[in-house]
Amino acid sequence: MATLERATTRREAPGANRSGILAFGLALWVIAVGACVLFYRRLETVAAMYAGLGASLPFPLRLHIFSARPLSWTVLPLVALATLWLWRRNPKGLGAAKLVSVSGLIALLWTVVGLLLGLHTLAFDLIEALR
Amino acid sequence: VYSASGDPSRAADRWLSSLGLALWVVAALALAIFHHGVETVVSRNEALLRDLPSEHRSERAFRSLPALHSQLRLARSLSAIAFPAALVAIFLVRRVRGGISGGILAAGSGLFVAACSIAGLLWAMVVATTPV
Repeated sequence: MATLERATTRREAPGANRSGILAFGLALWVIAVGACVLFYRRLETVAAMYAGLGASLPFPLRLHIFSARPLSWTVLPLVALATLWLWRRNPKGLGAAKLVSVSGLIALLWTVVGLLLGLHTLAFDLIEALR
Repeated sequence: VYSASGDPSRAADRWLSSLGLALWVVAALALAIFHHGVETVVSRNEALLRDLPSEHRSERAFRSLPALHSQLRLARSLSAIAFPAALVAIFLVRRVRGGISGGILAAGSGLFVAACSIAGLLWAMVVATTPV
């Protein structure tokens, strides 16, 4: 019975493996946060650049500049909070390494989606502005 | 989840492989959308230039469009070149260090292609929003 219990006990991978997964997850988080910071700074620069133009800037472009930014930026803290919450509750014996790697993947995915949407709206609105 | 009956290091390797493959899929999808977006922007700009009255074609904003297109295509190439480069790196690493696990290779190459995809997207954003 004790052997059966040990066999079905969920546990985390041993030290070296766990640290590898943790390092991978942290690398994902670093890439996602780094990209978001650069994205945020670029949009700030664009907004400041066009602020000098005043009312001549088309409204959809202004709207998209300010709506594309939080797309990437606000989701990352939410993913981090959800990871912390899951880690504290620890459902199904999920360890910190697995949680960090999965949440890092979600953060990166969302960053890519935000970048693609931001680039798409900015590029197309700039064309419309040129028209 | 690791059971006592299974080999924990192999299970961790499988986990890393899955995450690495997920990164490859994310990067490939991002590249496909990026490629489509760049081609659409270029074709729309070319249509805009064709329809433009000849007196406006010499304006600075319109004269710079071909340079903008080549910069956008260069940024897309940065994202695209990461895929064959990662495959070649995997091949070379396996030849040099035969004992390296598949999970570490998948995770490392996945990180590389995802980072290159994001770098290409950020570069394109800088190019698209830089005033002429």
